Amino acid sequence: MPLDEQILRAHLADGPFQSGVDLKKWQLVSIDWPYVLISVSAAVREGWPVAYGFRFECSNYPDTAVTAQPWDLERNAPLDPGKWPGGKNRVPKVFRPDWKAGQCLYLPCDRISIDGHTDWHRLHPHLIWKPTSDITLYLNEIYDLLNSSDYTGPRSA
Amino acid sequence: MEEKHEMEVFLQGPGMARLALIKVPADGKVQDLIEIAKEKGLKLEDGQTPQVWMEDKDDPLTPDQPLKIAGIQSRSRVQVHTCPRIHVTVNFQSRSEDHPFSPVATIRTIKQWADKKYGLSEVDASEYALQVCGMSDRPADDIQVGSLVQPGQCQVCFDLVAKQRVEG
Repeated sequence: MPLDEQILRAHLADGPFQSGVDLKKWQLVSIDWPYVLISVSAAVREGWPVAYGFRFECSNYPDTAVTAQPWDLERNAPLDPGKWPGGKNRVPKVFRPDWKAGQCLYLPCDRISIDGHTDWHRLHPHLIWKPTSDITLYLNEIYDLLNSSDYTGPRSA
Repeated sequence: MEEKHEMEVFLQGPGMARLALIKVPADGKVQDLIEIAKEKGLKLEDGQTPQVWMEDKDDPLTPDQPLKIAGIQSRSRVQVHTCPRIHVTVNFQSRSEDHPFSPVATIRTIKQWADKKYGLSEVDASEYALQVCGMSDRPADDIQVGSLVQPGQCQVCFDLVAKQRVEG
Protein backbone atom coordinates (compact mmCIF):
# COMPACT_ATOMS: atom_id res chain seq x y z
CA MET A 1 0.00 0.00 0.00
CA PRO A 2 1.51 3.37 -0.96
CA LEU A 3 2.60 5.65 1.87
CA ASP A 4 0.08 8.41 1.10
CA GLU A 5 -2.78 5.91 1.34
CA GLN A 6 -1.37 4.48 4.59
CA ILE A 7 -1.25 7.91 6.17
CA LEU A 8 -4.74 8.84 4.99
CA ARG A 9 -6.18 5.59 6.36
CA ALA A 10 -4.39 6.26 9.67
CA HIS A 11 -5.92 9.73 9.81
CA LEU A 12 -9.38 8.32 9.05
CA ALA A 13 -8.99 5.98 12.04
CA ASP A 14 -7.66 8.73 14.30
CA GLY A 15 -9.30 11.19 16.68
CA PRO A 16 -10.22 14.21 14.54
CA PHE A 17 -11.99 12.21 11.81
CA GLN A 18 -13.60 9.71 14.17
CA SER A 19 -14.79 12.52 16.44
CA GLY A 20 -16.63 13.97 13.45
CA VAL A 21 -18.15 10.56 12.71
CA ASP A 22 -19.28 10.29 16.33
CA LEU A 23 -20.85 13.73 16.16
CA LYS A 24 -22.58 12.74 12.89
CA LYS A 25 -20.80 15.45 10.94
CA TRP A 26 -19.54 13.08 8.24
CA GLN A 27 -18.96 9.43 7.41
CA LEU A 28 -16.59 7.51 5.21
CA VAL A 29 -18.33 5.89 2.24
CA SER A 30 -15.48 4.19 0.39
CA ILE A 31 -11.82 4.28 -0.57
CA ASP A 32 -10.68 3.52 -4.13
CA TRP A 33 -7.24 5.06 -4.03
CA PRO A 34 -6.48 7.86 -4.67
CA TYR A 35 -10.22 8.62 -4.44
CA VAL A 36 -12.04 8.75 -1.12
CA LEU A 37 -15.82 9.22 -0.90
CA ILE A 38 -17.12 10.98 2.20
CA SER A 39 -20.67 12.06 3.02
CA VAL A 40 -21.04 15.36 4.96
CA SER A 41 -24.20 16.16 6.93
CA ALA A 42 -26.20 19.26 6.12
CA ALA A 43 -28.88 21.29 7.88
CA VAL A 44 -32.21 19.66 7.19
CA ARG A 45 -35.51 21.12 6.10
CA GLU A 46 -38.33 19.53 4.15
CA GLY A 47 -37.11 18.62 0.69
CA TRP A 48 -33.43 19.21 1.49
CA PRO A 49 -30.90 16.37 1.48
CA VAL A 50 -29.61 15.23 4.86
CA ALA A 51 -26.07 15.05 3.46
CA TYR A 52 -23.92 15.68 0.40
CA GLY A 53 -21.33 13.31 -1.04
CA PHE A 54 -17.83 14.47 -1.92
CA ARG A 55 -15.12 12.69 -3.87
CA PHE A 56 -11.69 13.58 -2.56
CA GLU A 57 -8.54 13.02 -4.59
CA CYS A 58 -5.78 12.37 -2.10
CA SER A 59 -2.58 11.77 -4.08
CA ASN A 60 0.60 12.54 -2.11
CA TYR A 61 -1.40 13.04 1.09
CA PRO A 62 -0.67 14.90 3.37
CA ASP A 63 2.30 16.69 1.82
CA THR A 64 -0.02 17.92 -0.94
CA ALA A 65 -3.48 19.34 -0.28
CA VAL A 66 -6.47 17.24 -1.23
CA THR A 67 -9.06 18.34 -3.76
CA ALA A 68 -12.78 17.55 -3.63
CA GLN A 69 -15.86 17.76 -5.83
CA PRO A 70 -19.54 17.22 -5.02
CA TRP A 71 -20.43 13.63 -5.85
CA ASP A 72 -23.65 11.73 -6.49
CA LEU A 73 -23.18 8.70 -4.26
CA GLU A 74 -26.11 6.79 -5.83
CA ARG A 75 -24.92 7.19 -9.42
CA ASN A 76 -21.21 7.25 -8.50
CA ALA A 77 -20.78 10.28 -10.75
CA PRO A 78 -20.27 14.06 -10.43
CA LEU A 79 -23.27 15.68 -8.77
CA ASP A 80 -25.63 17.48 -11.12
CA PRO A 81 -25.04 21.27 -10.77
CA GLY A 82 -28.70 21.83 -9.89
CA LYS A 83 -28.25 19.64 -6.84
CA TRP A 84 -25.18 21.46 -5.56
CA PRO A 85 -25.59 23.33 -2.22
CA GLY A 86 -26.91 26.85 -2.59
CA GLY A 87 -26.79 29.83 -0.28
CA LYS A 88 -26.96 33.56 0.19
CA ASN A 89 -23.36 34.70 0.49
CA ARG A 90 -20.50 32.43 1.62
CA VAL A 91 -21.94 29.14 0.35
CA PRO A 92 -22.34 30.04 -3.35
CA LYS A 93 -18.80 31.47 -3.34
CA VAL A 94 -17.46 28.01 -2.49
CA PHE A 95 -19.85 25.72 -4.34
CA ARG A 96 -19.40 27.01 -7.90
CA PRO A 97 -20.24 24.60 -10.73
CA ASP A 98 -18.71 27.18 -13.12
CA TRP A 99 -15.29 27.00 -11.41
CA LYS A 100 -12.93 24.52 -13.10
CA ALA A 101 -15.97 22.79 -14.67
CA GLY A 102 -17.17 21.73 -11.24
CA GLN A 103 -14.04 19.67 -10.56
CA CYS A 104 -13.37 21.23 -7.16
CA LEU A 105 -14.61 23.59 -4.47
CA TYR A 106 -13.48 27.22 -4.39
CA LEU A 107 -11.62 26.91 -1.10
CA PRO A 108 -8.09 27.86 0.06
CA CYS A 109 -7.56 24.31 1.33
CA ASP A 110 -8.27 22.85 -2.11
CA ARG A 111 -5.22 21.79 -4.13
CA ILE A 112 -6.61 23.05 -7.44
CA SER A 113 -8.24 26.27 -6.23
CA ILE A 114 -5.28 27.61 -4.21
CA ASP A 115 -3.25 27.76 -7.43
CA GLY A 116 -3.00 31.41 -8.46
CA HIS A 117 -4.55 32.75 -5.26
CA THR A 118 -1.48 33.84 -3.33
CA ASP A 119 -3.52 36.42 -1.39
CA TRP A 120 -5.52 33.62 0.20
CA HIS A 121 -2.49 32.84 2.41
CA ARG A 122 -2.96 36.28 3.98
CA LEU A 123 -6.77 36.45 3.86
CA HIS A 124 -7.65 32.90 4.97
CA PRO A 125 -4.60 31.55 6.84
CA HIS A 126 -6.70 29.16 8.91
CA LEU A 127 -7.74 27.35 5.71
CA ILE A 128 -4.31 26.96 4.14
CA TRP A 129 -3.21 23.33 3.83
CA LYS A 130 0.09 22.39 5.48
CA PRO A 131 1.90 19.02 5.51
CA THR A 132 0.78 18.73 9.16
CA SER A 133 -2.88 19.15 8.14
CA ASP A 134 -5.35 16.31 7.89
CA ILE A 135 -8.51 15.84 5.86
CA THR A 136 -10.70 17.25 8.66
CA LEU A 137 -9.39 20.74 7.82
CA TYR A 138 -11.36 20.48 4.57
CA LEU A 139 -14.28 18.54 6.04
CA ASN A 140 -14.87 20.96 8.90
CA GLU A 141 -15.13 23.85 6.44
CA ILE A 142 -17.65 21.99 4.27
CA TYR A 143 -19.67 21.00 7.35
CA ASP A 144 -19.63 24.57 8.65
CA LEU A 145 -20.96 25.93 5.34
CA LEU A 146 -23.69 23.29 5.01
CA ASN A 147 -24.88 23.96 8.56
CA SER A 148 -24.70 27.75 8.52
CA SER A 149 -27.56 30.19 8.22
CA ASP A 150 -26.13 31.05 4.80
CA TYR A 151 -27.03 27.64 3.34
CA THR A 152 -30.43 27.57 1.60
CA GLY A 153 -30.68 23.98 0.42
CA PRO A 154 -29.90 22.61 -3.05
CA ARG A 155 -29.55 25.20 -5.83
CA SER A 156 -32.68 23.91 -7.53
CA ALA A 157 -34.80 24.17 -4.37
CA MET B 1 -12.66 -1.64 16.15
CA GLU B 2 -12.79 -2.36 19.89
CA GLU B 3 -11.97 -5.75 21.29
CA LYS B 4 -14.21 -6.72 24.17
CA HIS B 5 -11.53 -6.14 26.81
CA GLU B 6 -10.66 -2.69 25.46
CA MET B 7 -12.49 0.60 25.21
CA GLU B 8 -11.96 3.50 22.81
CA VAL B 9 -11.81 6.97 24.40
CA PHE B 10 -11.31 10.41 22.84
CA LEU B 11 -8.41 11.97 24.75
CA GLN B 12 -7.09 15.53 24.69
CA GLY B 13 -4.54 17.46 26.74
CA PRO B 14 -2.01 20.31 26.45
CA GLY B 15 0.94 19.37 24.28
CA MET B 16 -0.88 16.55 22.50
CA ALA B 17 -0.63 17.25 18.78
CA ARG B 18 -4.18 16.30 17.94
CA LEU B 19 -7.34 14.86 19.47
CA ALA B 20 -6.44 11.22 20.07
CA LEU B 21 -8.64 8.15 19.86
CA ILE B 22 -6.97 5.77 22.27
CA LYS B 23 -7.62 2.26 23.47
CA VAL B 24 -7.65 1.53 27.20
CA PRO B 25 -8.38 -1.72 29.06
CA ALA B 26 -12.08 -1.78 29.86
CA ASP B 27 -11.26 -2.89 33.41
CA GLY B 28 -8.66 -0.15 33.82
CA LYS B 29 -8.66 2.88 36.08
CA VAL B 30 -8.95 6.60 35.50
CA GLN B 31 -5.24 7.12 36.12
CA ASP B 32 -4.48 4.84 33.15
CA LEU B 33 -5.69 7.69 30.95
CA ILE B 34 -3.03 9.98 32.43
CA GLU B 35 -0.27 7.53 31.51
CA ILE B 36 -1.59 7.20 27.98
CA ALA B 37 -1.80 10.99 27.65
CA LYS B 38 1.87 11.26 28.64
CA GLU B 39 2.76 8.74 25.92
CA LYS B 40 0.81 10.87 23.44
CA GLY B 41 2.78 14.02 24.28
CA LEU B 42 1.02 15.53 27.30
CA LYS B 43 3.14 18.40 28.58
CA LEU B 44 3.40 19.00 32.33
CA GLU B 45 5.24 21.51 34.46
CA ASP B 46 7.48 20.01 37.18
CA GLY B 47 5.56 19.04 40.29
CA GLN B 48 2.13 19.36 38.69
CA THR B 49 -0.39 16.57 39.14
CA PRO B 50 -2.82 16.18 36.26
CA GLN B 51 -6.45 15.27 36.67
CA VAL B 52 -8.91 13.65 34.27
CA TRP B 53 -12.06 15.49 33.23
CA MET B 54 -15.00 14.09 31.32
CA GLU B 55 -17.28 16.15 29.07
CA ASP B 56 -20.60 17.03 30.70
CA LYS B 57 -19.19 16.54 34.22
CA ASP B 58 -18.19 19.54 36.32
CA ASP B 59 -15.68 17.87 38.63
CA PRO B 60 -12.51 15.88 37.87
CA LEU B 61 -12.66 12.10 38.11
CA THR B 62 -11.16 10.15 41.00
CA PRO B 63 -7.83 8.71 39.76
CA ASP B 64 -8.03 5.23 41.30
CA GLN B 65 -11.65 4.70 40.34
CA PRO B 66 -12.42 2.01 37.73
CA LEU B 67 -13.30 3.57 34.41
CA LYS B 68 -16.83 2.20 34.34
CA ILE B 69 -17.58 3.37 37.88
CA ALA B 70 -16.28 6.79 36.91
CA GLY B 71 -18.76 6.83 34.03
CA ILE B 72 -16.27 6.37 31.18
CA GLN B 73 -17.92 4.51 28.32
CA SER B 74 -16.96 3.64 24.76
CA ARG B 75 -15.98 6.86 22.95
CA SER B 76 -16.29 9.08 26.01
CA ARG B 77 -14.46 12.40 25.64
CA VAL B 78 -11.91 13.28 28.29
CA GLN B 79 -9.22 15.89 29.01
CA VAL B 80 -6.09 15.41 31.11
CA HIS B 81 -5.11 18.71 32.69
CA THR B 82 -3.55 20.35 35.75
CA CYS B 83 -5.72 23.49 35.82
CA PRO B 84 -8.97 23.26 37.79
CA ARG B 85 -10.39 26.02 35.64
CA ILE B 86 -9.31 27.80 32.44
CA HIS B 87 -9.89 31.54 32.47
CA VAL B 88 -11.26 32.27 29.02
CA THR B 89 -11.42 35.75 27.51
CA VAL B 90 -13.40 36.41 24.34
CA ASN B 91 -12.95 39.75 22.57
CA PHE B 92 -15.58 41.11 20.18
CA GLN B 93 -15.49 44.55 18.59
CA SER B 94 -14.41 46.83 21.44
CA ARG B 95 -15.58 44.60 24.28
CA SER B 96 -13.97 41.83 26.29
CA GLU B 97 -15.77 39.21 28.39
CA ASP B 98 -14.28 36.60 30.74
CA HIS B 99 -15.47 33.34 32.24
CA PRO B 100 -13.82 30.40 34.04
CA PHE B 101 -14.49 27.16 32.15
CA SER B 102 -13.68 23.58 33.00
CA PRO B 103 -10.61 22.42 30.99
CA VAL B 104 -12.90 19.92 29.24
CA ALA B 105 -15.26 22.64 27.94
CA THR B 106 -15.40 22.54 24.14
CA ILE B 107 -15.03 25.33 21.63
CA ARG B 108 -18.71 24.72 20.87
CA THR B 109 -19.64 25.45 24.51
CA ILE B 110 -17.47 28.55 24.69
CA LYS B 111 -18.84 29.83 21.37
CA GLN B 112 -22.43 29.38 22.63
CA TRP B 113 -21.51 31.31 25.77
CA ALA B 114 -19.90 34.09 23.74
CA ASP B 115 -22.86 34.30 21.33
CA LYS B 116 -25.20 34.76 24.30
CA LYS B 117 -22.88 37.21 26.08
CA TYR B 118 -22.62 39.40 23.01
CA GLY B 119 -26.27 39.07 22.06
CA LEU B 120 -25.71 37.43 18.67
CA SER B 121 -28.82 36.01 17.02
CA GLU B 122 -28.74 32.40 15.84
CA VAL B 123 -28.36 33.64 12.28
CA ASP B 124 -25.50 36.01 13.11
CA ALA B 125 -23.77 33.50 15.38
CA SER B 126 -23.24 31.05 12.52
CA GLU B 127 -21.26 33.74 10.69
CA TYR B 128 -18.69 34.20 13.48
CA ALA B 129 -15.90 31.94 14.74
CA LEU B 130 -13.51 31.82 17.69
CA GLN B 131 -9.88 32.52 16.75
CA VAL B 132 -6.99 32.24 19.20
CA CYS B 133 -5.75 35.77 19.98
CA GLY B 134 -2.74 36.81 17.96
CA MET B 135 -2.86 33.69 15.80
CA SER B 136 -4.78 32.42 12.80
CA ASP B 137 -5.89 29.19 14.53
CA ARG B 138 -9.64 28.57 14.59
CA PRO B 139 -10.00 25.33 16.57
CA ALA B 140 -12.71 22.89 15.54
CA ASP B 141 -15.79 22.89 17.75
CA ASP B 142 -14.98 19.52 19.33
CA ILE B 143 -11.64 20.72 20.68
CA GLN B 144 -11.56 21.12 24.47
CA VAL B 145 -10.20 24.42 25.77
CA GLY B 146 -7.60 22.75 28.00
CA SER B 147 -5.75 21.52 24.92
CA LEU B 148 -5.15 25.08 23.79
CA VAL B 149 -3.48 26.28 26.99
CA GLN B 150 0.29 26.55 27.36
CA PRO B 151 1.65 24.18 30.06
CA GLY B 152 1.61 25.83 33.46
CA GLN B 153 -0.91 28.46 32.38
CA CYS B 154 -4.61 28.40 33.07
CA GLN B 155 -5.85 31.03 30.65
CA VAL B 156 -6.58 31.51 26.98
CA CYS B 157 -7.85 34.34 24.82
CA PHE B 158 -10.04 34.28 21.71
CA ASP B 159 -11.25 36.87 19.25
CA LEU B 160 -14.76 36.44 17.87
CA VAL B 161 -14.16 37.04 14.16
CA ALA B 162 -16.43 37.18 11.14
CA LYS B 163 -16.19 34.31 8.66
CA GLN B 164 -15.17 35.89 5.38
CA ARG B 165 -16.30 35.03 1.89
CA VAL B 166 -13.73 33.31 -0.27
CA GLU B 167 -13.23 35.61 -3.25
CA GLY B 168 -10.66 36.53 -5.83
